[in-house]
Amino acid sequence: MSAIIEIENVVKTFGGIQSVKALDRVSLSIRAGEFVVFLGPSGCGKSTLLRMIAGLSQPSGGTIRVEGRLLRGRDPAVGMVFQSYTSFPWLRVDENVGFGLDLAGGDTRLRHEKVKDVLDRVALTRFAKSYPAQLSGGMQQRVAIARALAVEPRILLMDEPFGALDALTRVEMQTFLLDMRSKDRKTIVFVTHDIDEAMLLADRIVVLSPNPGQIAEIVDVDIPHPRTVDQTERADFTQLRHHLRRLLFSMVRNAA
Amino acid sequence: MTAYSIKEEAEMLAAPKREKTPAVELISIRRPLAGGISLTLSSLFFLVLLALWGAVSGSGLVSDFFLPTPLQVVQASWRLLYAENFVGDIGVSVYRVFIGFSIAAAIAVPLGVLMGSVQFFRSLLEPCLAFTRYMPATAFIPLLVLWLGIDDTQKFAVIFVGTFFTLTLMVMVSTLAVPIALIEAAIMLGATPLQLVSRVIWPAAKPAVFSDLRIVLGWAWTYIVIAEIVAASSGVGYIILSASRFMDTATIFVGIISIGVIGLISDVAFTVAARMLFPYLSSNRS
Repeated sequence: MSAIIEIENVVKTFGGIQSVKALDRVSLSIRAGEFVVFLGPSGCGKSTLLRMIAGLSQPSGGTIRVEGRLLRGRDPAVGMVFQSYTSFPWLRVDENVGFGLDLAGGDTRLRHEKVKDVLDRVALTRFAKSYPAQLSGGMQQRVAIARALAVEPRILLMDEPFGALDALTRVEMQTFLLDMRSKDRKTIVFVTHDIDEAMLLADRIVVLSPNPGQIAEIVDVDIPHPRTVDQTERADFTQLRHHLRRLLFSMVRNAA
Repeated sequence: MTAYSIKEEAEMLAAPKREKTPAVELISIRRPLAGGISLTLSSLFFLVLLALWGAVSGSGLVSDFFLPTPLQVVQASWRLLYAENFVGDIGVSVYRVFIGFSIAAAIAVPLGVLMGSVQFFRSLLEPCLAFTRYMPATAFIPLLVLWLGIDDTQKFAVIFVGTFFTLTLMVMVSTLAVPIALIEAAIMLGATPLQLVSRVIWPAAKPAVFSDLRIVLGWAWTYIVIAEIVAASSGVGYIILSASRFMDTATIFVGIISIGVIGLISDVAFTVAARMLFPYLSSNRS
């Protein structure tokens, strides 16, 4: 498979005189259809890197290419789901999901079909006419995922999308995401600091370390699909968990 | 109102014969009260004030030259309404406030949204607006009389000067309060800058802007009365001024109270309109 995202020597510094180097010469290439998780402690620059792939923030140095195009701002091939609830509160669920399609315009009936189809995929058909405030946290994040999927991005970026959810709902959403992905081989780049979440979801875990943000290690997760939460009890999972935990905690200790 | 309080209310309505609400529960922190109790309290306080006024003015402790009795005020308002076309004066004042405030809002709202959306315009205009805001509008009245005379244009101008600058800044602040995450989410869905303003920032800021308008409209009434007291031949302010020349305290009371009533009506109108315009705000998850 060819690279769909190519990150080359990316540097990101914040601030003026007392500038902080958030990322230092990060290079990575992500293949089409791959599920990559950026894992690391807070301050390792994982979200910063994701935001740069989204085009919401520009690298201070180096380049990012998406499908071969040099990235300058948001690319139509890239969609994003955020950690905070970003549903538009004044729009009903179906209007939220159709928002991106409405912006582009085009045939109304086709748009409606598309919205119905996506709502069905995230199991929210029953709530099409509800307002986001009437939904639970997990449902709101499903709206956000549906809204991102509706415009059919080839790459989906997810910035700790389940971070604000309770533990049970989080597992439910992880399962939902695995299931969704088994049907549609989108390229997904997912940011988290949750080791179990990373192992369950990823084809490849990119571990980042802070001060300055750099890639510490890249781990292939060779556990076959379909995966379930129960599999996280398996021996190879346990071994990986130990390894990742030791790696992350050594970073935190070094920082302290 | 949250669904929580509705539920509580339903419980109270369903079991009225249950124990009476203990007095302590009436003043619990952040505990919602049943709608009936709430309304009773609001009316009760009005009645207490009225009774206090009646008692003090009726007791003879204070001369009715300074404090007319409620009955005298009712009589005065009767006379004003039927013999002196007070409705016409109210109409004139409402008209002046409406036009003056509408002009201010029509410019302040788009400008505030623009300033809250694009740093360029914020840097360009904010210091100047903040500076002008501190100049009391009342100090401009002599100047405005000089420039514009004493007809309605001058009244509109006083209201404009009194409300425009602060309203613009308030709308800017309300616009800045729109979460950046909403804007970024829309960018990732392909929104152009123009679409960001019209389809995300404006609808997201609208409830707060609406509340800004409601607050500043109250100030407009202060300015119209001042403007009418300084120079006018009609309007509520003029009625108050001419009553004071004749030492007709009851009529002054009528003027002041009627502005209070108009304010209350416009407040209720805003609240009802907000409920219709922003149905999603009252439909929180239970």
